Amino acid sequence: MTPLVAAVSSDAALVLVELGIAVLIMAGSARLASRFGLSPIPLYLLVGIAIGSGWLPVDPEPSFVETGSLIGVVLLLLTLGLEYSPSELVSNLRRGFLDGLVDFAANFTPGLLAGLLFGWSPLAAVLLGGVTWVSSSGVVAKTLADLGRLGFRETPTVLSIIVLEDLGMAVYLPIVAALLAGGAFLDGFLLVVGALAVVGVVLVIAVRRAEAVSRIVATPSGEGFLLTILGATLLVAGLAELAQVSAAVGAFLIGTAITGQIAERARDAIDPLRDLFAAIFFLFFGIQIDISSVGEAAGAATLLALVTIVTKYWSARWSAARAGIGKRGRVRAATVLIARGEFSIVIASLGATLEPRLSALAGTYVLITVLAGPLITRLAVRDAPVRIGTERDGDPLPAEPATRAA
Amino acid sequence: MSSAVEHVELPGVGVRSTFATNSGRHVGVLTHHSGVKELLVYAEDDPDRCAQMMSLDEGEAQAMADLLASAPLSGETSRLLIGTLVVTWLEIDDKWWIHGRTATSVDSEATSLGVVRDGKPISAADAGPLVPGDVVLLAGTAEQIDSAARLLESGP
Repeated sequence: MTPLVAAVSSDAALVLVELGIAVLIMAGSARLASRFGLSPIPLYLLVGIAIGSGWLPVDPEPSFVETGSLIGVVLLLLTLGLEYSPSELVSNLRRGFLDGLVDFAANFTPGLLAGLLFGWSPLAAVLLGGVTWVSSSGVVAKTLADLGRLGFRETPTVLSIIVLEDLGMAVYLPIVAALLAGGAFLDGFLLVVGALAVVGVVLVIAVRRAEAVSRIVATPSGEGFLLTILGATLLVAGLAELAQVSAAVGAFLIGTAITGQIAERARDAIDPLRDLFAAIFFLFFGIQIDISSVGEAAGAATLLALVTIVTKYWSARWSAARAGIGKRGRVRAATVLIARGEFSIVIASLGATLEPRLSALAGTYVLITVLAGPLITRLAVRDAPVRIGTERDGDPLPAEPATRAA
Repeated sequence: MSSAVEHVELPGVGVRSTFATNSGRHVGVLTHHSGVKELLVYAEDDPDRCAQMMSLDEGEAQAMADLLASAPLSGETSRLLIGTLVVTWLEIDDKWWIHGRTATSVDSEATSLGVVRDGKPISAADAGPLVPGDVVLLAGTAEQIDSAARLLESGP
């Protein structure tokens, strides 16, 4: 079926109607996912695939969806950076460096090897390695909160691995961005060195001058505050992209530089925008996936998912054991990290033009792990704490509990 | 005897502080960045796992801290500690012994700093008979405060 209104997409009324329908379909997906306590990401991807294949009679304004998806990546990384203060990043880097290294070796390698086995270019294989490496911070944090595990003794180990992966992304993304920019070997090498130098300098400024940055953005005006954060983030992200550092890393660094009360306020202000634009990002990613390649990718994605569920389980259990966690705690830590999600998609989206099969494979792969991860950890160990004072004892708290409560 | 409290930073969440009791059980508090506190009681068979949890907002956490730190006193809202000196304020209830009597009629070692009535401070001597809603300000050691509070409530 051809989209009903593709020919007259300049018509303002139709732009609004089509966008409205698309957003409503995503709203339905988000509500369905939350009813079952699942991440809405796989459903957004499926809606995108359905729109891209012409199964749904809508074609939301492509230029808006594309720009919106760019903003979505930037806001995803900004809110991730807002979660951490520079001192948390530094102390985690010192304590958990070895855990991060083992996690990287165990989970990056299967993706890399698979890419090479498929006969892809080395760079596309490096991207697939990134896809299988990074757990979904959003899904893991939500699962920990839903299952009442934030106070458990293995949770610092789990969160530390997440933080190190996020920091690892701040090194990985600029390298990939520089390599994607291409050119001769020496040019590429210089670009990588330059990009990493920029990240290093900005990170040092963020650690040393976090208070000054927070003071600059602070203002009592609600919309002034929102627009300052948004404008500064988009500007820095754009400049970072220009410098081949990747917009996402620029946004992440801005996020870490904003700390304390201001970070709390910024999260409250940005979260709704992030939810909207991140949904558009997943939608756009889905739209770009060629449905005929999903069938081809399904087998490989399932196999890759099985292998990397095992490698993630192994590496996380190793870290938990190193931290002196008991047997059951090790299983909890190992299973909760299985889910891959938003960052795997962010990484895969970088290589959409480089390797056409990457999107379909990564999309299917994320679909499998993001659903399997929370399910496996729920079933593997059934010992959610009794919550005293909630309506029904033992019930998980609604959506995001105390982490966001005022 | 003081117990060794272990503090662990949870990136993006807050700080978790725990210690082991003499009987071998682990208890603790998870303080979220937002100020919400969660009381954690760890399981006996798996000390990595919380068997029970309870969320407390800042006021509830303060009330719980007061209960644990001192003998429970009805009507007492809070205590201010200046070294070993305790300053506290007690709202008079109509069931209390002191109701209808003057603040000076109490023979206590704690120092009465005055009375707050309708939001205005009055000296204890000028206040006359106390009425419900009056707030009596007291200063002294923890023991002096405890005994003065008992006198105000139940009489000598």
